[in-house]
Amino acid sequence: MRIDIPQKILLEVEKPARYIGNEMNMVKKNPEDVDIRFAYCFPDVYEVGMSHIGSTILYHFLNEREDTYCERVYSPWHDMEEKMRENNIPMYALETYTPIKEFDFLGFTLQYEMSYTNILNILDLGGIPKYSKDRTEEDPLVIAGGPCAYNPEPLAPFVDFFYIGEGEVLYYEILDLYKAIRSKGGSKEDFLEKVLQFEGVYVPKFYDVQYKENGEIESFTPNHPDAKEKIKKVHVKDVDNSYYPTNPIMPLIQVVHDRAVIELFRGCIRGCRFCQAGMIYRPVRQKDPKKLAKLADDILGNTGYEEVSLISLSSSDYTDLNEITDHLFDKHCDVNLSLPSLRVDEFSLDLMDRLSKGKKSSLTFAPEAGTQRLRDVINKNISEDDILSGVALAFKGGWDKVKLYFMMGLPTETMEDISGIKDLAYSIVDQYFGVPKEERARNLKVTVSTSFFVPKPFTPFQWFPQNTYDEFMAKQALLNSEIRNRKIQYNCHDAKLSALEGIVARGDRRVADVIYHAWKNGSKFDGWSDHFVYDKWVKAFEECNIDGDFYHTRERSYDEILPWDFINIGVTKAFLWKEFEKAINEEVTPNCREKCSNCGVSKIDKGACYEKEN
Amino acid sequence: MRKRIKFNKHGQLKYIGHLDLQRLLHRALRKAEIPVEYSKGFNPHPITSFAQPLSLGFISEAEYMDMTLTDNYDNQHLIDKMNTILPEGLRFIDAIDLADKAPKAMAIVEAARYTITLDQDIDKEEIQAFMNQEEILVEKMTKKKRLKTIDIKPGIYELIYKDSTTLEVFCSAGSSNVKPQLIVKALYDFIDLIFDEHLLKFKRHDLYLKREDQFIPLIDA
Repeated sequence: MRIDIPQKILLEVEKPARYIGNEMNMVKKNPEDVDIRFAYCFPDVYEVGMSHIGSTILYHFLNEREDTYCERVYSPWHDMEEKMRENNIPMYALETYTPIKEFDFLGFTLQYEMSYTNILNILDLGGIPKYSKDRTEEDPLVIAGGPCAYNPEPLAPFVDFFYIGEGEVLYYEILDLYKAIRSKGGSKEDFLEKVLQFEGVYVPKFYDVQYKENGEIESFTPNHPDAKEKIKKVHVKDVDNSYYPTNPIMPLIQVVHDRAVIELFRGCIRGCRFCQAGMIYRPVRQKDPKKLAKLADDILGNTGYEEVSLISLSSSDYTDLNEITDHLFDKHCDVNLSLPSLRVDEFSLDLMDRLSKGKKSSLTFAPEAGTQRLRDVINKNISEDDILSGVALAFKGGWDKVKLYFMMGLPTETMEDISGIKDLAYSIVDQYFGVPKEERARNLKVTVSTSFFVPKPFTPFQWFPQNTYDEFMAKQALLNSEIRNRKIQYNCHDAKLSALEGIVARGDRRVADVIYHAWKNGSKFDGWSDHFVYDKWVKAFEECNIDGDFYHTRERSYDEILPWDFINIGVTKAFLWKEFEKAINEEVTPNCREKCSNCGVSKIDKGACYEKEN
Repeated sequence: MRKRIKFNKHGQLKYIGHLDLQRLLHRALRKAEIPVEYSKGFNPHPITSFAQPLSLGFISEAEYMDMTLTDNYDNQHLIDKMNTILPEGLRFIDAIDLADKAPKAMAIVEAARYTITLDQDIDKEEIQAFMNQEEILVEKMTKKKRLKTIDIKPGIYELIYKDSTTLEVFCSAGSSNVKPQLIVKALYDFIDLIFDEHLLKFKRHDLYLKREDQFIPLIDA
């Protein structure tokens, strides 16, 4: 069935091109010719979803298979949703306008916790029961992956199975299995039982959870003979020869990141203690610069993009940065190059100068904490000297805008650390005035932004109590009153969203009902601060009789069974605990290239820690 | 070397606006490796100029874009190459070479022809009565966001009844542009019908310049 959306609707909604597909490089297949129909769902608006490189990879990767047609689904914006409901238009996929109910798989990517209500909304708009137990053979299999799938429990009752790890590894085998079972007339249930054979696959219904009286988990046990005790994440071992799309879809409208994207490496050598990505994506796997150069040539040739971005968790750590940037400057001199997350030193300032072709954009630093003590606690490998000498160089080079990012509510944080944020910003202003007038640019602007720290699973801070709402706001008020300098602008926001994110991030299966009720109460697009309504969630917690504080302001003990403990990311719990203790003692841990810290991941694969041995 | 391209815009592509269309064409030209001249500055982009932006929701048989190439390029080859790249709903139809001094398409457009599919039935006589008015006054928003009453009758060269739900209009375009939506709105008001622009379908047939009292399509310039 092909959905027809009346012109009147499309002309009355904001940005109708969000809902029409048909972009350059979109994959076209005849649905009659394929065995498997896969709807890849990004539970946010089109412009956000189309900017996500993981989605691009998976979309084209799945479409490489002749027997599979992967189509895209994004959350309709409020105006479109209203019209879809009024006119009984079911949620459909962009390639063929087929209702999502007709697909074999709905695959959701979980990029941030606050998109979970959008998942329920997509299912609802598709006429698909939200809870797995209510779905029939006629409904698609609902699967989920992505970084937030590393704690799958808050979505456990809604999802048939989770994919833990990088998509390129196992999807083909899973689809082969599905096809084999379906061709023999097997049921969804048969498939779910057989899919247990794979690493990285978690089928929630095959596990039971018991709770203690105090609310902690008593036990988490498989209830099916083939269900594994531990789910081991899967990751790409050979990044140079793994699939990367060279013909990505080019959106018809401007999206958040509207450019060609090249991935430099996966993982991160740094080990910042708050960073989940830095732990779950270990080990570091660098790509060969020559292969990347070829990829860039192909992608630029196939798209016509005027900008290419080299991405990774910390671009300066790419050891062949010179080689790849030189290639791009030489061969694609008319293409803009962007390199997010560079460290500011002489080399990178020179690079930034060339990147921006003389136009000085703003410099961005993420010291995360205001004092060296607290930066040591979080293992953020940047010193005050690094920052001040970096800005001094930049001011001499003609830059005059600096952006600084900090977190509030980090472990062991005191009000002195908060004042330290102000002190650092003031020192930067002093650096500027220390540069002779004729050498510096005219108008200094320092922007300080703070966010609230949310402890995440699989980080050394996973046991740490999150600050209460009142603590957050007191810290913000202090900083707001202390910053009294016309050159410094302070941006802050409300802590309610962060508190909620903290609850969902470390939630267990019981939180699922809260998400369901929040959605029932009308929550969606919660990640969009202007659409987030805290009271809808408060009501949901009351309706479910669940205490949010249990999840976010409670300190956990080392012995407690955490909801995500059954997932094995390679990095051991013992290592994370050791890092937590070192944090409390303000001890730093060297990066993976300086010294291996025995995080445990070397047992599953070689990483930066023994790159040298190869 | 200057060229004028004639292309169409159909299907779902009618839901993208002029700026998005421009970006799309620029990227397609780049992908096709057409040697277009680029602007200088921080964000170089192909220098192109369009005859007249098409309203969102309209389809068109003939849109025009002028551009300058830095090298010789065969017109048919250009058309064929672009058509392998452009998404469904956009096709290059024709290309001509322009003299270096030839005025831009934008500067010479004088008229446009549209087919309009209505959401309600009308009579031929009603059209006649409508056109027999001395003036056709409509309210139009000025650039300063003020409502102004103007007479669009001089700008309606022809209003042809095709059948009870189909009209063809030939009207002024370019600097004294008369939007076809305005004409239908005035007609609906005249015969007392409820007007909802989004229920109508508009198709632009062509854009014309004026030479010796003759209107000729831009591609025949």
